[in-house]
Amino acid sequence: MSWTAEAGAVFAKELRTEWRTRVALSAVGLFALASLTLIALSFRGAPLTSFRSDADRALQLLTREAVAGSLLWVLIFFTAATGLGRTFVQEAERGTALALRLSARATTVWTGKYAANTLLLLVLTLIAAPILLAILEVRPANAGLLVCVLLIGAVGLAAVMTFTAALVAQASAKSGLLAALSFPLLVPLFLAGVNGTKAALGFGNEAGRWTPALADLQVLGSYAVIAVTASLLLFDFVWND
Amino acid sequence: MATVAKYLLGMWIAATVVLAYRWLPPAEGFAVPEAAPIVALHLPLALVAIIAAVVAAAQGVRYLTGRNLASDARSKNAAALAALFCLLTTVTGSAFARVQWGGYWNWDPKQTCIAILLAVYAAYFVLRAGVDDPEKRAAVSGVYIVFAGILTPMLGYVVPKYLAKFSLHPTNTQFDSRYWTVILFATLGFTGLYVWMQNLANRFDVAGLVLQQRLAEAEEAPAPRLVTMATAASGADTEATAWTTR
Repeated sequence: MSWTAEAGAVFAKELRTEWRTRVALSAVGLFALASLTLIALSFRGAPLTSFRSDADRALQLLTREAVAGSLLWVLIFFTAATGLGRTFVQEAERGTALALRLSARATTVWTGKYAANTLLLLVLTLIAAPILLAILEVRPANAGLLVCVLLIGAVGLAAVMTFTAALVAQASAKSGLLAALSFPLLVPLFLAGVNGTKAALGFGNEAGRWTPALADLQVLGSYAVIAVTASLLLFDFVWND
Repeated sequence: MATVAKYLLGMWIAATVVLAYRWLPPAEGFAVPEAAPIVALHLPLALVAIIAAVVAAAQGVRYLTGRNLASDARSKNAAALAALFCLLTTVTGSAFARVQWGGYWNWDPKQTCIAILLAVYAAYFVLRAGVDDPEKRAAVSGVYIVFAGILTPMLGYVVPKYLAKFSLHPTNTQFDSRYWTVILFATLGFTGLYVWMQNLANRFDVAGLVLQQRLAEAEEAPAPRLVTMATAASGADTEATAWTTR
């Protein structure tokens, strides 16, 4: 089997097993729903623009756009940490890791699972982001830029998450470990992602131009390339152990 | 020889501290010039932390290619020492930041980077604690430290870009040449201290590995025979039992 066909087969297998149980999808969906509800409850209760006193006016420096940008990435990070860890853990739990190890090369296993995870994360982001923005009543100044930032960000995020998930699957205490392991590595991605999202939502960029966020897109892009390359190089050492 | 080297190292570091606080003049251009000599200790500590971090990643690569548990032990010890020296850098830096910038923590780019580095080492040791099988643990933690070694250098470019446009850390301080002498002294002293601690921890771990191997070999060998020796002199009811291993 050629490399691409093998990776495609792993990808299809991932989607099929996920569709049969829908564990990751429902866990992630419920998590996103819970956080969106919490955000809605707190922000609908006290709209940010209704602050009157001087002390509260200082808070207005953190305008809706900035809050929306950071909340969106908090939501994406924890959604990813809840859902994307499943891929390797389920192989370990069902005892199917050995069969997969025999029938596919390490790089194709990683690529297939990475593609499935990216798809899952993208679908969730594209559903959750408009709901979050609607709750916060923020209208993006440049929707195309927002989609680009989220797309490239999700590609890099899914790479680091898929790779650390393979490490976590070897550990005995798995819950919570994925977030702890991946967060310090993801800080560069979050800084660029939050900055780019704020620009796309119109924070200091009311006209919705592309130029303020070009550097962010570069950082996100190079981070994604480095993360994918490093994962492909190192995955063999965790997988075929 | 080793004992002499240890005493020399102790004297060297003591001399460095004395030099830093008795010989160095107050540095111009700082808020409290008299407090500046701590820089001569802070800078070398940061340098040694970087050396230890590079050793940790390099020994991680060495484990993954050679599969020798001793390399994993070296990588682990280097990571622990890197965390220790990061912590010492943070403490000396914070103390100076208090007098220089008015607060222990100012979210300066370098402070942010070191906080994230400490988080990486914390995650590394949490991961190690989570895996029971020694070889699996070595592979997983080796891969993590190499992966972190590839991704974290980006922080140096990304953090100054987003969190503070310019660092509070000085880049153009005109230090008296005596400062550079003490910084060189301290760098040599702390590097020696690091090498000594690393060597000590490595030897301890390697001894543990050898012991485990010996125990495993002894278990594989035929079971020890229980030899009972009835000692005629003290009567039939007193039996001395002895374990012999072949």
